[in-house]
Amino acid sequence: MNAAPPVTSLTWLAAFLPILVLLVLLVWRRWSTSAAAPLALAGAVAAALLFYRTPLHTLAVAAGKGIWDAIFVLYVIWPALILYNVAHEAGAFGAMQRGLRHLIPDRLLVVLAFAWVLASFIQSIAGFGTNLAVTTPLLIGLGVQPVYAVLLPMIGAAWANMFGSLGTAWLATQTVVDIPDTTVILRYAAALIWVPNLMAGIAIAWFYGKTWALKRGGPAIVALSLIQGGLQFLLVPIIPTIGTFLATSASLGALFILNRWGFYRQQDRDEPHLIFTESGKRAFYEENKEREAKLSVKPTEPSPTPGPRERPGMSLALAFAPYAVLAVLAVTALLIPPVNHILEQFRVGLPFPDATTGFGVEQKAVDAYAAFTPLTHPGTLLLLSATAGYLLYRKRGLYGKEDTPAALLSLAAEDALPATTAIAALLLISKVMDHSGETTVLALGIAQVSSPAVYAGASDFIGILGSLVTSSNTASNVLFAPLQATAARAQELSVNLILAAQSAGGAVGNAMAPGDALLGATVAGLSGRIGAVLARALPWTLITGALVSAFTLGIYFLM
Amino acid sequence: MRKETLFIAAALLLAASLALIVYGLQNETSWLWRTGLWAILLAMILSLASHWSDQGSRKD
Repeated sequence: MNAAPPVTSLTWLAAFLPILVLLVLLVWRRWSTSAAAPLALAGAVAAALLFYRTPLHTLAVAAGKGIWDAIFVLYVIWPALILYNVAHEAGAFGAMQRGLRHLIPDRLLVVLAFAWVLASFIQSIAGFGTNLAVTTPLLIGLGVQPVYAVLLPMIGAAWANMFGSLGTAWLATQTVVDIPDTTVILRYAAALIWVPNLMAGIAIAWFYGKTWALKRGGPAIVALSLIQGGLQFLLVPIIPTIGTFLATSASLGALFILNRWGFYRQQDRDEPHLIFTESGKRAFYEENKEREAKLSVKPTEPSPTPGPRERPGMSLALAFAPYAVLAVLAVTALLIPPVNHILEQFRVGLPFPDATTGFGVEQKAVDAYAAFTPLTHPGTLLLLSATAGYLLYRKRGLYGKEDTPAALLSLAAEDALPATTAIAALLLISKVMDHSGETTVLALGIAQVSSPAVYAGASDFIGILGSLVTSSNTASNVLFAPLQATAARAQELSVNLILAAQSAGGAVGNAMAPGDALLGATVAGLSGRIGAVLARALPWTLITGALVSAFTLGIYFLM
Repeated sequence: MRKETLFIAAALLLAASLALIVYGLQNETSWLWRTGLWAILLAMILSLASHWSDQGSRKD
């Protein structure tokens, strides 16, 4: 194992400083991420220089890797915003809102479909926030407030992070730690990850309309969770790379069956509108009025104005066309092995020398750090979908004279520019904390003050902490899995169980990943103000983390 | 200064810093990667400055 800096109250508090600064400024002071993250970065650098004996050379290596990682993420954000503006300026989201309400009359079922089922399905094949890039605009098109349009899919898809992206996090975990029994750890992890899966459905319904929505959504939540969590539990130990993809695909099919059920064809005049905008509420009443008029029933409430921007003549299929192109491209590029093999021949990565600190924390030299394959990267798929969508909408005469490609790019740049420095700052924090040993000290500090039972219960919170710092389940596991395995052996705990808890915690922590929240907030037009999203995600993360802890302890005591 | 200008300048500085750091580390030229670190510091100051630039424009 790599050497570690001394774990004292002072070094632990110094390592916690950047996280504290970030959370206080984002959640309490409601600063934008582009302003808060540089101050947190200053805290991380100050701690590295003053308490962690980190030379400038190591900081330069960390900084180079952090900016390179940021390019990786920004190549999702910029194309996602271009696709959003291509669809928005053509009036596609208004058409989606009306079309979907006709196709799936139950609005709660539509929200569950987008924020939970579709977001998880996308997460199962492509990570890096692609699920938010797609589902956040769809939820806004449905009339959901921007904060909830970011929050709900973040919570909804968190569970699919560990075995999503075609098992990336799992494959990365195997490269950094010796796993005693892969089948056992996969079974434990899939069982523990069922908790955030079920909690996601419950939370989305709770935000939608408290107890009303829990009663109304209950049957769908139970059925979908049994399919998603249950199939993942059965399939992941056999085929870890596509177990979640198959489970989420099956749940997409189940949605159509649920939609045919009479229970989700009834209207309720008392339906709450807690997560909807004023125009979303008006559209709801207007659609109910139309539906009731058809049935010759008195309307529930008059609707004076129409819903979001929509041009006549746009069908639901046309509105969804760019997203359908995206789905076809993603499945073709990622799931068909010969195509994937050819496209992944082209890789880009940067060389970095080895780096060390005065405490012996070492990072080995790499020839191609974080090499990514541009032809299968979600950014390329999003750009191609945006181009196809633009050409299609242009051909159908859905744009005005002012909607030129340059104008659409300019609209995307308005939101993407603040996100560019913010993402870079977040990933710089992550790399500085990693290369200086601050992240290791944070985790070791928790391990040192815990008894075996307490450590078993706290191990998933280390995974959560990793995702909070790095905005990635994969990075959380790469960072903490070796440490967790060492701590488990020292405490005579099951390494399989502790690594499973780490993995489940990494998934839960994605509900509060600042990088993902920023991506979603940028797409939603929240100008990088992610504090409102994180403040609402925090209780879910803590409650779900505590439940995963309880289940981990349950398995520990039964062993 | 307009916040868009600040963000564009910060993004350009970050791009330049990556080139300076990678090239400097690769060729063991310390002044290059040190310049890259200074460029990041300046980019972060500009990003932070957008907070007050933003508030100013809203007051206007």
